[in-house]
Amino acid sequence: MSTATEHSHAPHAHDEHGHGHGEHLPFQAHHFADMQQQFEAGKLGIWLFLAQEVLFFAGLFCAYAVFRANHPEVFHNAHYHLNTLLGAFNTIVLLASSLAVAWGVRCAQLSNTKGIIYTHVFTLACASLFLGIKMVEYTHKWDEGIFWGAKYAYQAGAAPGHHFHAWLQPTMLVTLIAGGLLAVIGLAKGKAGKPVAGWTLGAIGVTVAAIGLGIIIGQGVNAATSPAAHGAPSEHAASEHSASSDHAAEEHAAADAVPTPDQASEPMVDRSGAATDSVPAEKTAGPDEAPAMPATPPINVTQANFFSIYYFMTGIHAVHIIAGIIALTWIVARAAANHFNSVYYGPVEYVGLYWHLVDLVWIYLFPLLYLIR
Amino acid sequence: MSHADHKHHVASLPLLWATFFALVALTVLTVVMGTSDQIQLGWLDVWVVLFIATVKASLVALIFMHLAADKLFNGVVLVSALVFMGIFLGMCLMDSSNYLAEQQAYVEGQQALLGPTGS
Amino acid sequence: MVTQAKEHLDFHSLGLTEDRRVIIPEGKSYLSGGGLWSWVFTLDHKRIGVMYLASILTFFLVGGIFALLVRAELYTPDIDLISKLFGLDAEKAKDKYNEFFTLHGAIMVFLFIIPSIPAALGNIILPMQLGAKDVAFPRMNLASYHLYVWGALFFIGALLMTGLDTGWTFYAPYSTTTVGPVAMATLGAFILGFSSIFTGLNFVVTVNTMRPKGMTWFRMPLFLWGVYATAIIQILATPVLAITLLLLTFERVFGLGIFDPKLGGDPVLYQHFFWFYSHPAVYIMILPGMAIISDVIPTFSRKPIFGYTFIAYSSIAIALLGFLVWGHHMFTSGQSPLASVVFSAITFSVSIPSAIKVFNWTATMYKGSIHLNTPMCYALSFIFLFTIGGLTGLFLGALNVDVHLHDTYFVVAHFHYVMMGGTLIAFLAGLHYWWPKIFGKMYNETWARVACVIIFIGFNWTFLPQFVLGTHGMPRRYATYEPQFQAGHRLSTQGAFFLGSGLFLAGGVLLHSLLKGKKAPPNPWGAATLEWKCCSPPTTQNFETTPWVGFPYDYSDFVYDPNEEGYVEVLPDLARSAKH
Ligand code: HEM
Ligand SMILES: [Cu+2]
Repeated sequence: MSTATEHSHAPHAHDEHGHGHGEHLPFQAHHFADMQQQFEAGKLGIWLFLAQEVLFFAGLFCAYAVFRANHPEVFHNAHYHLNTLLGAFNTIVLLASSLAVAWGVRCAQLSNTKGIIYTHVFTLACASLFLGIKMVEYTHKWDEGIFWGAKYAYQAGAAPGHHFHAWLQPTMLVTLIAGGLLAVIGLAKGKAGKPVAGWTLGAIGVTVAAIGLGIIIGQGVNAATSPAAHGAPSEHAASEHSASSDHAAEEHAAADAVPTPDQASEPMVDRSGAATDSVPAEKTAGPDEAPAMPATPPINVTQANFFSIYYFMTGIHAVHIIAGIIALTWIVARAAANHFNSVYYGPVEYVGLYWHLVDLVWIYLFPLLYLIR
Repeated sequence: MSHADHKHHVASLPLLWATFFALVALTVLTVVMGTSDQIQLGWLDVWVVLFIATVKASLVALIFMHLAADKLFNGVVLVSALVFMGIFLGMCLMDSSNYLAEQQAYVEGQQALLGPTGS
Repeated sequence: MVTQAKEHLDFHSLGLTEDRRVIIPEGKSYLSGGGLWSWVFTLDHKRIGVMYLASILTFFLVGGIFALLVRAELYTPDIDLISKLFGLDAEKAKDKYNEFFTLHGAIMVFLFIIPSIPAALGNIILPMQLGAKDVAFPRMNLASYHLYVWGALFFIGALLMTGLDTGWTFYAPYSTTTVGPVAMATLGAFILGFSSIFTGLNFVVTVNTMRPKGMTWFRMPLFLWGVYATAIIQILATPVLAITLLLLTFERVFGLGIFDPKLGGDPVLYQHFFWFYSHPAVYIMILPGMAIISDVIPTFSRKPIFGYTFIAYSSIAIALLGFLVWGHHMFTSGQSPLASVVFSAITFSVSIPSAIKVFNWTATMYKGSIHLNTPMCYALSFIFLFTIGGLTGLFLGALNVDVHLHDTYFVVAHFHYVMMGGTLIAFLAGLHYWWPKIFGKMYNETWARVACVIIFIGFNWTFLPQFVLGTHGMPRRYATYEPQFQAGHRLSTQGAFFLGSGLFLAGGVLLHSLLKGKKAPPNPWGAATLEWKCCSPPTTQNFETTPWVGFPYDYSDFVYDPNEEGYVEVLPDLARSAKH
């Protein structure tokens, strides 16, 4: 096979169906002059997509920054509910996956198909590990009533109100068994001379099973560190932040007041009234029509708001991980079909770049959410 | 098939591993900075932690994402996205920080109105 | 395919010794052949563009009907028409009125104006101006259209469920507490956002990587510069809208507490989020409009564009500066005085690049040989209306003046002058300009020009009185008003119906051309950009061979051929041009 630049052909030598042509360059689209142009276009495309992603997350970082700047004490207190060790572990898992993906691109550039497959399956495992651990984190918080916004129902010292984490055990078993089974079937298919089906099933199996593994690790770490992680908040709040301890107390009180929509009274800050000036004037049931004097204490920014931001940021990030899992599986399947080599490996690189971005976002999320002082 | 005559930059394995270990080391550092009771920098803390994150992010971008060896334009795309994100955050923070005092005064006023049962 | 050179033009009279005309071979039209499926799943940028065109025009009609309902209601000070039409008591009828202006605004902004020029016309023209066969990512292009359809379905869903009354801005906390199908509409807008991002992304990559040999950045047609600048905004601003609307949806559905003050949220933050997208979005609307005008004016003045580089750079400048001024929508929202002052000051700087363009267009026409074809009529009307719109924008950008004018009809008039007088008129200019290329048919010039004049008169008739109403204190978004405003509202309503009739006429003329129009020559206007160097309508591949790239505004080689009823390019005689 010749290199991309040597290869030239008449501009309209291809038929319209786009599949029949090209014994030599099966993946060149008809509207590109050569492989080089196609690769550059794809690469710029993915970079622009990443730019778009940055701005997408920017909204969340902005909300985070504004709430934190105005209410540092809320963030400080809230972060005691997060398990730093789990966060750090997940960070390292993602870094490892990033390394694997970068390695995979290198393999593709060297036409090492096996290398692409191994590195990407490893990445898939990391992705699921991450999700499994996140599941542990989420469920334990839910059990304590740590939800978001209106649903927030945490009471210090109260008995767990829910038992979401009871689902972890069965989930773990199911994922481990199902994943293992899929992997075995994949292995068998591979042995039977069906590499594409084999590797795809294998990759899916590893992905599923790694969720179970993540749950095991998450549970283990959580059990080992949880007294430290959960016993601390109140003492810390009282001792370390003597300057703003009255604030901290106020936050706790407000947080415990459980602001559900129906109980909530009045917009708190004076600018909120002004902000409604553009609502249709004819509508009578606007929030600004409420009685002027609040009957209950003004609802302030509370830990509920921190957790709104926390869940939304990590949730959107997790959605990106899931999208990444789909893309990575697609790469495994195509690599197994022997599509990639040093001339054509664009998709490996594009998916890799996307995956690195997911890692980049987490690199910021981790200190911002877990390491607050 | 040789790749020597190919334009694409191939990252060397030792470099990839070195980057990975640097990233892990920085993660450990940031956890220590962020949790240790010995090292407390007050308001600087958040900036130190963010600085470490930025170093990590740059490593990922330059080496794992090949920006160091890539076309300049791709880097420009990423940097301009970050610049606009900065504008967005900066202006919003500039605005919201300005009524902090008023807000505090309002909250205190409301609490005074409610009397001792207020909170 | 070899075509015989027709022996009509007397090339000797041009001082040529031989026939040096460029003959553009006829080919199979991209429009012909294939069933419904070949359209719905086509990868051809032109077919996707035509589907976009049909869709946005449909929604323009729907949005327009709501506009006429709103205007008809405002003919009298009381709420009477809507309550009679729908048999509602006054309070319910006022709610209906709120729904109507909301649907009008949301449909016009998200389903018509934003995709109008880039996604519909741009999709068709951009690759052709590059001499390319397609955009860089045809499948993403198709996905963009399919997302548009899905987003539109959500909007239709919200329309049918009735009760969406937040205004197109979805301001919190009203939008988080009202009863209407807000989540439906915001999810629709969320999806439409990605449709728009995909279009922009595609265009940036196409322009960056697929320019033909010889087309450097500064030999690109200005339409491409404008669309490119637009695409930058689409990529960098739209995701912020997406996350905003997603947050809003979650706030409504799951009680997330980011914007709603009842939950400790920050409603001013919502406005920051919304306008960080929506101010740049007004440039998503106007930049492609300006881009069309920059192509139309020189063509019909038969004169190279004046100040090419200034126009090109000003597009980029507008795109970038446009990100720094969003706070001018929030002067009275409770935004801090410091932020307001900063935003007000920067707002004034954005008008500079816009003014540069206006000066350059006028300078282009100076001593030109102006042909008043329909596209040129629209272009002239654009310059007039956009200038008014832009200048009144400056009034509003002045902090102290805006405190008086905010949320009055002055704002309504301002943005209609820029969005309708600007973008819509430019869209019509572009539509009439490229219609022969897209569909291969000539429309009736006389009637098209009549329509243009009716639209121009009707437009001013409708919106000039609104400036006066606004300065006198008539607030926007009200179903009823004090009797002293009635004279202004009457004028405005009459104008609106006149305007509507003009638009119907323009549409009728174009549709008529599809059935009865004369066949269009490859280059009816004598333009020098590449899209005119293929047959009308083009083939699926656009070009048999990559066309020769010259300066896009050099008209010296284009000669009118009466038999073709269009222009032909006469290649310069090398011997002759050597003497120059
Ligand atoms: C010369 C440039 C411009 C300036 C200085 C400017 C300034 C402003 C200002 C200050 C406002 C806020 C008024 C208020 O709510 O009190 C405004 C509103 C608006 N402008 Fe412009 N503008 C300009 C151009 C445009 C263009 C080109 C468009 C669209 C194509 C546009 C569309 C709008 C819209 C839609 C609104 C109203 C939004 C709403 O509240 O619903 N403007 N403009
Ligand atoms: Cu604006």
